[in-house]
Amino acid sequence: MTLLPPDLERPFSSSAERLAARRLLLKRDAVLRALKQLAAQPHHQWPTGIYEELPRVTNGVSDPPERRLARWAMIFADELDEVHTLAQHSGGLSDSDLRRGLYFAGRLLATATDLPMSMIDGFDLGLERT
Amino acid sequence: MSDLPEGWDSYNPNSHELTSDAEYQRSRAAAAESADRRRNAYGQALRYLRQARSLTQARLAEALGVGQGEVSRIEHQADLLLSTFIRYVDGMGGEFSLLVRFPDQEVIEFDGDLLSDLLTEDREFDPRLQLLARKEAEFRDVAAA
Repeated sequence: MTLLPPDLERPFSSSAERLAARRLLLKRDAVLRALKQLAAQPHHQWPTGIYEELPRVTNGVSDPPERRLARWAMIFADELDEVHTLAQHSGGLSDSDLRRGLYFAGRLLATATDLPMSMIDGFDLGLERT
Repeated sequence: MSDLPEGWDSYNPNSHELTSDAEYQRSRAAAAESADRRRNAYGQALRYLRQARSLTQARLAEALGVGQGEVSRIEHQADLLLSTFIRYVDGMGGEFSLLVRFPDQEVIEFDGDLLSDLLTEDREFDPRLQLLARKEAEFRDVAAA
């Protein structure tokens, strides 16, 4: 259960914490881009196993992964672009913008995968293995 | 040089060969199962509370001033904001309080009204978060899609 929205204005306590946040933003952005790429492809061209891994129900209603992902990419197009822009410039971002990018990326991933925020970074579409 | 961690900039979902790796498949299946369990646990707990009060989703939605779909959404999502849970309990006529236990101290109790006020102020502070929340609701409104 999420107790509070994060404090996006809180400065990072060390350069190591900031670097870890930056790397996580890059990772999340890479997964988001991969999902966006999948959304633009016919689902029969998706890599083996991905279709089964994505949710097929939304709000208790049947929602095939290809339709669900296409809707996600369309509704959150602006946020996906914003996260990607932030990730591309992550080295020069203020602490609050870096936190915002990280948080927005997390929310976008949580919506796409229907996973709680605490589990989204385990969903990587196999990126770390390629 | 790419900003991405090593290997991430060359990702091509069509060259995904490792999904056949048995150990990898097992870990993915375990993660998916864990997420399902968590989703089910939230939903069961909330439905238990609602049914213990002999309320239908429609009646509770009326009390909350939202559509039935919103109540259904709350009962099916994998994660739940505390402010949403407080509102849900309030809609059933219940009172929410939060107990915090430490092994070496007396239990500390937080009043639900105070928490609700604080959480609402916090969430309303950032209009971009509000927009994101509205879009998430739109995304989950499958019937309208």
